[in-house]
Amino acid sequence: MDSMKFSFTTLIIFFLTQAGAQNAANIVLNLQKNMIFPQMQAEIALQVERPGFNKNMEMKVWTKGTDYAMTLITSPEKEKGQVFLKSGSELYNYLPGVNKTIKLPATMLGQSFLGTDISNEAMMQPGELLNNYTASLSGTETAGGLPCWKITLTPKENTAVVWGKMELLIDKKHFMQMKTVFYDEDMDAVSTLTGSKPITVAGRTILSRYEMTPVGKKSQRTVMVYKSINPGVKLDAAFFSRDNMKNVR
Amino acid sequence: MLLTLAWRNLWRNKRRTLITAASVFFAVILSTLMQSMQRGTYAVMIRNVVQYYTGYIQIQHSRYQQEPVPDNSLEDNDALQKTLINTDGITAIVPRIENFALVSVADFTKGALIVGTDPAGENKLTGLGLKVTEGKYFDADSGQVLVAEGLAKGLRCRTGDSLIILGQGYMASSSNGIYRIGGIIKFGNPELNNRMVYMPVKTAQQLFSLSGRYTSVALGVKDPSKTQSIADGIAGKLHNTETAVRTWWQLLPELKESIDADKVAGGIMLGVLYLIISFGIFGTVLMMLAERRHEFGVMVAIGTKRIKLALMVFLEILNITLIGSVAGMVAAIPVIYYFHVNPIPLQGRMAESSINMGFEPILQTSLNPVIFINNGVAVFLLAMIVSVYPVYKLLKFNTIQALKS
Repeated sequence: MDSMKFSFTTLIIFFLTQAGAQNAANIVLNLQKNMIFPQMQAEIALQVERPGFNKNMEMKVWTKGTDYAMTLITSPEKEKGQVFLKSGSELYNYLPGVNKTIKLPATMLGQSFLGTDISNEAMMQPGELLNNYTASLSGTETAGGLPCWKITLTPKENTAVVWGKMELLIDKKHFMQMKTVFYDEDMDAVSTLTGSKPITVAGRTILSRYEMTPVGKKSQRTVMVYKSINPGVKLDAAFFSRDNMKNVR
Repeated sequence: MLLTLAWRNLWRNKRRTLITAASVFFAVILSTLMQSMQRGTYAVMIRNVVQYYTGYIQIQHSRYQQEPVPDNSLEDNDALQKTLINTDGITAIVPRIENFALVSVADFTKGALIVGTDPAGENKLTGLGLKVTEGKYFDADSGQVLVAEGLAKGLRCRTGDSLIILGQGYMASSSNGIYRIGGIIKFGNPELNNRMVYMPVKTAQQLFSLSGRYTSVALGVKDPSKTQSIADGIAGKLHNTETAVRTWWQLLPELKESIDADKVAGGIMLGVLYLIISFGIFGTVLMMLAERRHEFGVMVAIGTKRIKLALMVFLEILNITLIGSVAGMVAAIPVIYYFHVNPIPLQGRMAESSINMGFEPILQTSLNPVIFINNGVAVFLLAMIVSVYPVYKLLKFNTIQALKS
């Protein structure tokens, strides 16, 4: 009788945890489904805030799924014309001043994108989260006035990733990424990404403003605002080629 | 009288005297060699990092050590320059710009430490010009770069190729440029050899939008043992809280710690060596006395005072150890000089671990005169302490038994 009770309880716990994992993975899938367009063209404004000065940048971005992204810097003058290309797991940087394209080493993925608080990886269309991370549901919380799922992403074994763990708050209705806390390998919080200002694009409700704040650095942050998003563009794989980096306008 | 007697006694049995003196002689050479090898190894470590790169003192922005980024750079100012020029004991003043960046040649990209520096001053401080193995040393106005050998190998490039540098400049600016490789330089320290790129300071200021600024000023000093007092002197004259004066052991605390830890271990080894040496000398002295038991017995029997006898033997031992340790000190000089000029190359796993720690895999002796004198004096004192026992025995021995022996 006792053993039966025991096995029944374990069975329930087993199903509950399985259901939880399933649920968490589904939430992350829904988040990506909502956030990532099959293809799109967008205009983004970046403001880097530092003690003593601010720096403003503008750029055009083209993406195709999670595999391809092209970013053209349009302002300021010093960086104007620089192009970044993400193709699969490779990252290239075209420098108009010397008319050369450099393949950036994988170690650069976690490094700052043009002096901002945003990493190259985060800027250049992060890939499928679930390929490298395991999702688990760790509760519910409110962010930006919306009830959210709290999802913890921990890296799978033997994957080379930038973060030790990520904590995401994803709103329950539209699956928007309201808040993300990034942790390093020592499980110390490194930076916080906060999303706001939902807009509706092609029937989807997405966030148009993100703010990346590094932990422990006074008056320092980077604000990223989507000025326009056009999911109606047609982009083929050839668009995302090294050769095309010199031509995009 | 006693001294003459002691001196004559020494040469009555030359072989015995020479054997005893030789035991002191070799003890001095051995302990000097050991300590000088140890000190020499530290000197190699310090030279590899301090003299070949860091400099003995650096002036930096107070936040630079925690966060070495261009934003934490110093503005070039007259007050600082005047202070440095008017400080005694400084041999070189080298303003530098240091910044990590990506370097790329054709399809190869690597991380590198870009150092913008004054070619003449740098050569004076670190002897950079001597490390050029291909091409030419650079001019302040050439706009050319020098690439370390290991990095050049990784990038598959050589003199005359174009190097693209891509990095982060002052105030979140993006920096990139293309430069002709004017030469290849070779460092003994693999860490430097795999990541250094040198360029004129003006070129680096342009590249990283740092005109009129430096990330550090590296100083060479005439006498490394005065590093601390020179640093204190400069710090006392600068009243700017944004400027920090740092000595090499503040810049490289790990190096200082590992040397200190090793010094303790070396001290224990030296202690053991001294112990072995002491027993060696003790044995030899004891033998000498045993051989002369009969003689001492006769002397006491015909009326020599024991205290005078003891004093005479003490003077004999004093003379022997003096001869031994002075000869040892003198003879150690060529031996240690030889290993200073021809350092012993380390082999196998020792060499590997040395390279991994960033040092040249060699055992080199130090020529510091203090080591010769210290060890000569130490062995001399040991011999004197050891000879207390036989002298004490002389005051006590049984005359009848000695006469019968």
